[in-house]
Amino acid sequence: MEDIRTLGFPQNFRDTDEESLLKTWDNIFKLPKYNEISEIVKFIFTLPTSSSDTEQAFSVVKMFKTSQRNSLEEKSLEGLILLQQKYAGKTEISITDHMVKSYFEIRQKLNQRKDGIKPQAGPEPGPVSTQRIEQTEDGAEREGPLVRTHSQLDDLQNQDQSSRIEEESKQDAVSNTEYSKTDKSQPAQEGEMEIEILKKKEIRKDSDCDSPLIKKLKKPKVVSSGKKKRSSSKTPNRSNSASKKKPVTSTKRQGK
Amino acid sequence: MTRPQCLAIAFVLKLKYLKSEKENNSLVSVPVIQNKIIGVATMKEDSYGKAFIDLITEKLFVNDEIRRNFIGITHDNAQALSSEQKGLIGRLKDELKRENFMDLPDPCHGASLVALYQKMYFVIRFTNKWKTFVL
Repeated sequence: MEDIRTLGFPQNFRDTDEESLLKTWDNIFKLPKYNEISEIVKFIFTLPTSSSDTEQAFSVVKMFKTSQRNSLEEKSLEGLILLQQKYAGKTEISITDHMVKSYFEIRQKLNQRKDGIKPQAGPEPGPVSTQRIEQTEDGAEREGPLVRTHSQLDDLQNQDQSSRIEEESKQDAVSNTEYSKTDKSQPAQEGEMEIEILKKKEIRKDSDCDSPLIKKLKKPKVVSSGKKKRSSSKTPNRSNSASKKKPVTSTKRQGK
Repeated sequence: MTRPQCLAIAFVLKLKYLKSEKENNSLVSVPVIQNKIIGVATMKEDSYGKAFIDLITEKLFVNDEIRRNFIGITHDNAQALSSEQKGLIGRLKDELKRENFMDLPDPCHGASLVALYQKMYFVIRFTNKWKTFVL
C-alpha cells in the first residue's frame, strides 16, 4: 500500500477527475504487484454507466436538424456533427488544397443543379494515377503509373494556365500589330457596335461612363438639342398656324 | 439510442474508449478516456433489433480489433435494445460469441422519466387539491 501512496493516489475521490485517476492507475500499472488490478480498473472506466452521453448527442443533433433544415441527408448531418465535434472550440482550422478543390466542385455541381443542367461525373478525389513513360537506367522506355498528389496537380494546372495566358497574350500582340497595319476602319465599326449595344441598354446617366466611345453617345443628346431647335422651329410654325388661323378668324369676323 | 427528431427517428452511436496520448514535451504516453459520436443515422419505421445491428456493423465494426475490444453497451432499456432474443443485445451476443459481454440498462433513464411524469402529475393533483381546499 505504501507504494500506492507514494504514487499520489487521491484521498478524496469526489474531487478528482477521471483523467487524473487514470494517470494514477497507469502509474500503478507499471508496478508488478498491481498489474492486473489496473487492467480491470481501465476496463471499468471505459464502461458507459448511463445513457446521458447519448442524450447529449441528441441535443447536438437537435442543433443541426431543425424544423427548417428537416430535409438534411444522413451523410451531411453526420458530417456536420463530426465536424462540430472535431473543431468545436478551436480557433485555427487547417484548410487544405484538397478541401478547397472539393468545395468548388460541389459548388459547381449545385449551381448546375440550380440551372437545371445535369452534373457531369467528375474525377473522384484521391491520388490520381496517369500513365507515363519512364526511362530506365539502360535507356529503354517503359510505361508505369505516375501517382501525383493534389498539390502537384495544382502546380501543373497553374503552369498550364500561365503558359496559355502567355500564348494568348502573344497572339493578341501579333493580331494587334496586324490590325494596326492593315485595317483601320475596324475601330469605327467596333465603336458603332458599342454604341448600338449601349443604345439597347438605354443608358440614361452620363456620369457612370467615362470611355471616349460612350462620349459619342452624347451626340444623340446633342441631336436632342437639335430636336429642341426643331421644336423651336416648330413653334414659329405654330405661331404661323396661329397667325394663319387668326386671319381666318379675322376673315370670319370680317365676314360677320 | 434513438429519438424522434423532426418527423424522423434519429439514431446516434456514441463510443467511450481509451486512447493513449502523449503529453506536452514528454515521450511517455498516457491513457485518456474519449467519448465521441461515431455515427448518426435516420431510421424510418424499422426501429427493431436487426436494423440496429445492421447500423452498428456498418458504422462501428470496421476493424476486427474494434470487434474484439467491444465490451459492453448501455441503453435506455427499450424493448428493441434490451431483448435477449430479437433485440440488439441478443443479436450482439450471437454475433460476437462472447459471454463476458456487458449489458448495462441505464437505471436513471427510467427513473428520470418517472420523476418527470410524477412532477407533472403532482402539479395537477396539487392544484386540484388546492381548489377543493379553497372552495
